[in-house]
Amino acid sequence: MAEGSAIFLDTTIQIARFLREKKMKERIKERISGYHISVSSPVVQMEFKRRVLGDALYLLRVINNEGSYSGARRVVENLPAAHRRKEKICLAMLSEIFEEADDVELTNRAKRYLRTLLKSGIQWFRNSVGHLVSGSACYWANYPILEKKPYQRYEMGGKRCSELNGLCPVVEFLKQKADVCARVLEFLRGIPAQHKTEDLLKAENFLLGLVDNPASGAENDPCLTVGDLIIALESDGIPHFYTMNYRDSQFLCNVLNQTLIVRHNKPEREDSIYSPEDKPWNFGATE
Amino acid sequence: MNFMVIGSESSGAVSATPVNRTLNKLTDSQEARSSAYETVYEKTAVGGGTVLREENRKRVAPALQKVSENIAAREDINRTLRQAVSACKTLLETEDSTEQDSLTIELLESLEDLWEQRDVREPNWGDVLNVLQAVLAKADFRSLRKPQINAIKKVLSECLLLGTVEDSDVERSLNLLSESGFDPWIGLSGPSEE
Repeated sequence: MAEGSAIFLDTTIQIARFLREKKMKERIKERISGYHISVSSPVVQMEFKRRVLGDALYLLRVINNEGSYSGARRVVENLPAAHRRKEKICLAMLSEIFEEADDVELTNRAKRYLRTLLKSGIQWFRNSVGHLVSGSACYWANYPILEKKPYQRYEMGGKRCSELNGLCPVVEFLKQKADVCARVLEFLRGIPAQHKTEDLLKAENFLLGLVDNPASGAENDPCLTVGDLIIALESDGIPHFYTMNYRDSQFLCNVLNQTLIVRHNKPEREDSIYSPEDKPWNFGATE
Repeated sequence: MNFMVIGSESSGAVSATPVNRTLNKLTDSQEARSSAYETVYEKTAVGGGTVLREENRKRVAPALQKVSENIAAREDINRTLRQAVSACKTLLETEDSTEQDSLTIELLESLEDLWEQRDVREPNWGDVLNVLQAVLAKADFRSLRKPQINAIKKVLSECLLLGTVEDSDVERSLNLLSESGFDPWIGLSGPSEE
């Protein structure tokens, strides 16, 4: 363990630590163990909540609606490709674990597991990251999940900063980071158009809007629409950034002078490490 | 009735000594009745009295019966839990592999019995048991380390044996399992690639 070293864990890593197979979890654990502290942020927590816990609630509703574990699996397996992440909160594993269980038992176990996730998921997230930067202090990230009826009804809060009528402190955070925002904007504008991803383009437009009207931050729902940018700003000052999403992160890490560590999708592959001097990292040709 | 003040007025002490009237007993003996009573009286303790019949006894209300059944079921659960804790304690102490195998089977069977009774307890209790069974389902007991067995024992004794399992107890159980090397979310994780 390197004394004084810190690594920032982004949403993709936190989701993988939770949902991926054992080998992948071990690879990530091995990487993190090399650092003195691991850190994450409110917007990462908000994304984890929105994606993982949101999917868990969806699955619970499907099970209740279908009335059975097997029925829910059929629904999830037939989802369009864009929603495949829901498969990752995998009902498949339960039948692998409890080989001899019938559909009634698996239904009960699945519902109990999903309730445990809904009620304890955020606390697990916080414990697993070790440290949370105050960052944007995202309002929805800390909004508690309310259980209205066990195994049936839950209230998760919203997704949009604009729904909060100024309650979300993200605007204040963006003002504090004005100089970093300006640096990122300048860098993004310099990236050749053919290498600019859709998300980077959104980030650039958001920052341009912010220059024109600094108070407009929350109106554009930044945590939802340009989450990667806000997470990058929150991670500013943490020397190493760990992610599975290299496409956008390679640019943002570069401008923030961070070492980018990419966990590949296949557990057997070694992590790729890029120091800030390695720029421009082949502009998206990492994998 | 009048009362006579004893001693000085300022002392305020009074005596119940009647001044003008005497009290007369209305009954001559304990069993006798005053003529002031008009109701007909029949002593039940003597031969001619009415015999109490069973239907006159208060019946146990159905709700109360349910409560007592629940108490019995909970005691049964606690007995099984104590057996499971005991199996863990012995597992931590013994080096005999045949005894370890036997204790392991005993522990898993206890958990299975508890699962059958999950609806007796509150949702959190069954949820923790579900996670515990999931992490143990694929575990190779011969390769389990002592901290892991200790974690199982703690989840049983410090969480499931509680009168009520609160949300904080669920979180503590997940942490105990996680810190000892188990993956409490294995039931929701991606399937193994083997």
